[in-house]
Amino acid sequence: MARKKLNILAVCGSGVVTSSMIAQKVEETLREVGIDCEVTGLVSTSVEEYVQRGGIDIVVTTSPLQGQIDVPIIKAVPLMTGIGEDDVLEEIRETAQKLVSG
Amino acid sequence: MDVTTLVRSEFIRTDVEAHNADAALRYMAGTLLDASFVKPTFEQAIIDRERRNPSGLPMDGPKIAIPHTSAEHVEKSVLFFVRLAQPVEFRAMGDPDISFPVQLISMFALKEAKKIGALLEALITVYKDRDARSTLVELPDAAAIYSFLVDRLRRGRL
Repeated sequence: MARKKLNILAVCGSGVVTSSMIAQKVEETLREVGIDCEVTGLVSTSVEEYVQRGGIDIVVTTSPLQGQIDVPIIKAVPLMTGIGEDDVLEEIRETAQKLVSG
Repeated sequence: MDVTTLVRSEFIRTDVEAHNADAALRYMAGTLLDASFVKPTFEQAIIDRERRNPSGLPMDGPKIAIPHTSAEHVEKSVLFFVRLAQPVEFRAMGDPDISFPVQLISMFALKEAKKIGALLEALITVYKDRDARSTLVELPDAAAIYSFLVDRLRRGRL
């Protein structure tokens, strides 16, 4: 069965830092459970508009977000600091699995 | 990126007095402005950004903040490391409802926007080591902190 490829938005204040630091971890974590994904970096002020255009499955952020964002949001600072990293990766894995099986 | 053009002994300071985070950021931005490393817009940009995107790293042990802003406010790239005489409250990266006392501030001004990711990654790799933060709190003076930072950042292949 062909599974859906997930589009993940990695968000921080500049749009480059979080994505460069966490993209690989997120991709590896999901690949281990057979889920393909693409991680795109974005600056925090553009998230609401970007998500409303559609096509984004999960937002992973190290920046506080405002506005109406109707997809799962995962706080990802631990992926930068290392403290609680496994819990965040588990949350990403579970969220992704629900999305591809639902 | 050459570590020693970024980390400069004159921008490693200890025993800096500041009564809150804004005062510490204004002191640091003003010092960089006086030395022509940043534009006059840098100070307000860094204060505003700290409000929108706080930069205190939520970690065990001694805490550090990594304030920065975009390249348009920068003249010359530099890292400015300050150890405060007394910690001040910074809000947590990713969660502005949480705050904690921070004694170490690692501000940078980066002229090359594309390198910001690599630099932050190198810095966080050093700072997420609790022993490194404890060492930065305990080292006797700015010269010792300079040597420590240069060594650690080189090992991180910055």
